[in-house]
Amino acid sequence: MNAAREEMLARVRAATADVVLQDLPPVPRDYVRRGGRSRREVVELFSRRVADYRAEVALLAEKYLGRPLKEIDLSAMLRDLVQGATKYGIEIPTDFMMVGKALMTLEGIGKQLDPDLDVFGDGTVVVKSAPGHTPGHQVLFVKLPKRGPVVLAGDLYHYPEERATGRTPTFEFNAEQSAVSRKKIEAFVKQNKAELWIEHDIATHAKLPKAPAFIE
Amino acid sequence: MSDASRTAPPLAFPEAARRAVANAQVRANVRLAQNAIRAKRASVVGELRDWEALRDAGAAIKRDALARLDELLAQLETSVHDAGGQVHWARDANEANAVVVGLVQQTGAREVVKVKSLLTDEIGLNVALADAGIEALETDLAELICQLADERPSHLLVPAIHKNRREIRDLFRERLGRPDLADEPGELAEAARAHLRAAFLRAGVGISGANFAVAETGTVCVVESEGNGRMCTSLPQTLITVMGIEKTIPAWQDLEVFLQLLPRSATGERMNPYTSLWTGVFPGDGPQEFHLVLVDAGRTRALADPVGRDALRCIRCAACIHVCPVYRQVGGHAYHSVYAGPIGAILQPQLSGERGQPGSLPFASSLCGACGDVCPVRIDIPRLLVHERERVNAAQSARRETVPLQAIGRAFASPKRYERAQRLARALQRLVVSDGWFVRFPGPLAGWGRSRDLPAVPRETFREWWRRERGA
Amino acid sequence: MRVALFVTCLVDTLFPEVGKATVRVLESAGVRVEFPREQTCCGQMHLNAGSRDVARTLAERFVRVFDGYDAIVAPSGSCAGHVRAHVPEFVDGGDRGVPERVFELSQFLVDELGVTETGSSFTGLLTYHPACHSLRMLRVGSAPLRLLERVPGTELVELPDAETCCGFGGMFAVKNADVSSAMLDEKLENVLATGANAVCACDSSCLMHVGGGLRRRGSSVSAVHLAEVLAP
Repeated sequence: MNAAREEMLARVRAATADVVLQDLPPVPRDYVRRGGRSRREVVELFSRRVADYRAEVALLAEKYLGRPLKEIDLSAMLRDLVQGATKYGIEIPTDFMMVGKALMTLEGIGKQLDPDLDVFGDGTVVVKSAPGHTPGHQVLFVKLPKRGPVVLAGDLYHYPEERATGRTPTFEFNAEQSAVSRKKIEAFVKQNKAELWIEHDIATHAKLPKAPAFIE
Repeated sequence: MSDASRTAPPLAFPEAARRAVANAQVRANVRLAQNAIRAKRASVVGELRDWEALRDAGAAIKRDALARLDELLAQLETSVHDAGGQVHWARDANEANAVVVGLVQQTGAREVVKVKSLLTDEIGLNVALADAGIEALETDLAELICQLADERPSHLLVPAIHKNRREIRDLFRERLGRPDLADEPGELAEAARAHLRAAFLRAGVGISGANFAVAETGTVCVVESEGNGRMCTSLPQTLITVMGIEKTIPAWQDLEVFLQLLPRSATGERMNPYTSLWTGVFPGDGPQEFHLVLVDAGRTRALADPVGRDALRCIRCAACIHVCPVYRQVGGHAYHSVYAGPIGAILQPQLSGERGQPGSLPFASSLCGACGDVCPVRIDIPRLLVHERERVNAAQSARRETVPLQAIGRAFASPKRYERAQRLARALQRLVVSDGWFVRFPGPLAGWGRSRDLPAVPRETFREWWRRERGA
Repeated sequence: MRVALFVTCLVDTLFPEVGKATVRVLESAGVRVEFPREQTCCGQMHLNAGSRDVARTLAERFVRVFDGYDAIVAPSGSCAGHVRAHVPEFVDGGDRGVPERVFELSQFLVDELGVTETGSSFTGLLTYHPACHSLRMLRVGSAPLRLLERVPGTELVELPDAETCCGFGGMFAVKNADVSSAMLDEKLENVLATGANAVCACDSSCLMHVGGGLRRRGSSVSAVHLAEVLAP
C-alpha cells in the first residue's frame, strides 16, 4: 500500500504544481455564525435582557410544566427550549440535548404506557452526593408539603457543634472531601431555605415525632 | 450482479436520449419529482439571507482544499491513525476493490451491509465482492429497489425515481416474498424495513462512502435521510469507508458551511434527518475496526486540469440535476454513467479519461445555465462543459463535425467570404425550399426537420438591405 | 454618442426584418445608428461547439470592428452576453473596453437611455419567453417586460415555467434533436396554455426554434422578436 500512497501523493503534487498558494484569497466567512461572541459579551448581552428572559421562561413553564405527557409534543418542546436558549446566547450542555433526544425517541411508547406521566416532576425527593465520610456518602433532600424543605444529613454531621468547628471523626474516610461536601450542602440548605436535620444528634432526634406518627 | 444496462456497451447520449424521450412513464416521473424538489429547494434556500455568502465560503474552502490536497491527505491519514483507524490508498478502481475485498475476507464475513455510495458504484465494488463470494446488501430503500430489480440507479439522490409505487409493489411481492403487499407507501416501507432490520442485526461488516472527511480531526461524515447509514456505520464490528480523495476538507469548522449547503440543495431540507460523524474507533462503542480507503481513480487526472479541476468541488447534492431541462426529458439512465446530469456530463469524461461514449456527454446540454445558478459550491458548469467539448474535439480522430464548423469559422473571419457564404446558402437552398420555408431537411438539418419548420434564407439579407436603403 | 448596430449573423441572414425593426426602434428613441459593414459573427456558436481557436479569431475581429463606438447594440441576449462574458478572456492585447459597451436592445433602451416607450402599434395578447442567455449570462432582468408593458394595444400574460430552457442551445438542436424536441414540446404546451396570440423573446435563435415548432403544429400563434413588437 505504500507504493500506492507515494504514487498518489506524487500525482496530486504534480497535478497542483501550477497553483501558487499565496495567491489564493482567504476563505470568506461572511455567512451568519452563532457563537461568535466572547464570554463577557454573552454575559453583558444577557444581563440586559434578563427581564425578557424571565418572561420567556415563564411562558414555557406555563406551556409545559406540570402537564401530563399526553398533552406535550416533546419535539416541539425541545425546539422551543433550544430556540429560547439560542436567542439569549445560552448553550445547552450536550448531555441535556441527549436526554431530550432520548425523550423524543421514547415519546411514542411513553404516551402509550403512561400518558399522565409528569415529565419534569417537581423535585420533591432528591438524593444528593456528599462524599467524605465514605466514598459514596449521600444526603437526602425532601420537600414536604406542609413542613417545607428538609435535608437529612446522614453522616455529614454527627453533632450540631461540628457545623461551627468543622471537625470530623477520626475515622472519616476523607476529611478534605467532607469539608467540601459540607460547604456544598450548607449552600444548598441556605439556597432552599431548608432545615438541616442531623439524625445522629440526640437532641434533634428527641424533638422529632416517632413512627407511626409522621411529618407531612 | 449483472444487468443489461450494465454489461451492454454504453450508448452515446443522442441515441440513449432518443430512447429515453420515448418513455412517457420516465418523463412523467422525472417531471413530477423535479417540480416538487425545485419548489422545496427554492423555499429553504430563500429562507437564508446568507445563502450567497455560504456559497462563497463553500467554493473557497473546496478550492483551497484541492490546492493543498497532498498536505491534507497526509494530515487526514495521521488523524485517522491517531484515532485508532487504518488508512489504505488505492490508485484505481481495481486496486480499491482488491483492498476492500481483502479487508472483508480478513473478517471471514460472506455478507456486508452497504450505505449508498456513488464511488462504490463507480468502481464496481459490488461486482468485485460478488466475484469473491461476498454478498453486498444495499440498505438505502431506493438502492434496495434497484438491487432487487437488477437495474442501475437513475439519479444521484433518488436512484429509483424511474419507478412508481405500483412497480415497486410488484417487485417486493416477487423478491421479498410478500405476495399480498398493497402499493400503499407505508406498507411498502414496512416490508423493506423488516427485510433490512434482519440484515443490520446479523452484519459483521459495514461499507460506506463519505460526504466529507475532515483532515484536521480524521472525522468522516455521512448524511442521509433514512437511518440505514447510521445502522451500517454503528452496528457492525468492522467498518470500511471508501472515499474519493476530493472529499477531503481541511477543518472541523468547515462542516458548518457544507452541512448547511448540502441538505438545502439536495433534498430541500434544513437538515438531513441523519448526520453521522465518526472518528477512528471508540472502545466498546461502535465498530472496533475502522478502515478508510482513499481512492484516486482519475481524480488526479481531473485535478491536473486547471480549468476542469473545479468540478472536483462537487458535493453530490444533485441541485444541478433538479433544475436541468435536459435531464427532465430523459432521466438518469440516458447518461449511461454513475454521475448523471450536468455535473455528470463533466465528471464522467474527466474521471474515466475515455473519449468514446463519455465524449458525447459534454454535448448533452443546451448550456442554459440553470445548473451554475444553483450549484452550492459555485462550479461554473456551462463553462466546464464547453471546456470538455474542446478536449473532446482535440482528441477526436473523426472530425466529421468539426470540419464544417471550421469552414464556417474561416468564412466568418472575412466579410467577403461571409457574404459569399450567405449568397451560396441562398442559392443552394432552392432545391429544398418552397414558399419561403424548407420542405426537405437534408444532412445535418434532418434532426431539425423532424419536429420543426425552418424558414428559408430571405431574398435580401439585412446588410444587403442596408447597403441598398442607407447607401453606406 | 456613436451607436453601432451589431446585427448578428442569424438576424442578418435569416431574420433581416428583426434587424430593420431594431433600427426603427433605436431611431425612434433618437439614436443615430451606424452599421459597420466589416462585422460578421461574435463566435458564440464556435466556442460552444468547442472550437476555441475560431472563437478567438472572431473575438479579436469583433473588438477591431467595433472599437471606437460608445455603444454597440444587438437584438440578441445571447450574442451580447457572449461578447461581454467571454470575449475579454480571448483577446490578447486587450479588449479596449469594447465588450463592456455591448448591450442587448432592451437593456440599452431601459438601462442606458431610460426609455420605456417606443411608439409601437403592436396589438394582441402576448407572452414573454426569457431566453436563457439573456436571463442568466447577460442578466437583462425586467428590462424586456418593462418595455412590453408600455405597448398600448398589448396585454401581457405570464408564461408558466418561463425560465425553463426552450431546447434550442445552438448545435444542440440538431446534435441532440430528440431531447431538443422534447424540451420544445413542453415549452409549446406552456405557450399554448397562456392563450396568447404571440410569444416574444429577445433572441431569434429561441424564436426560430419555438416558431418552427408552432408552425409545424399548425398553430396560429406567432413567434415575434422584441424589436418587432416595439417597432413603431
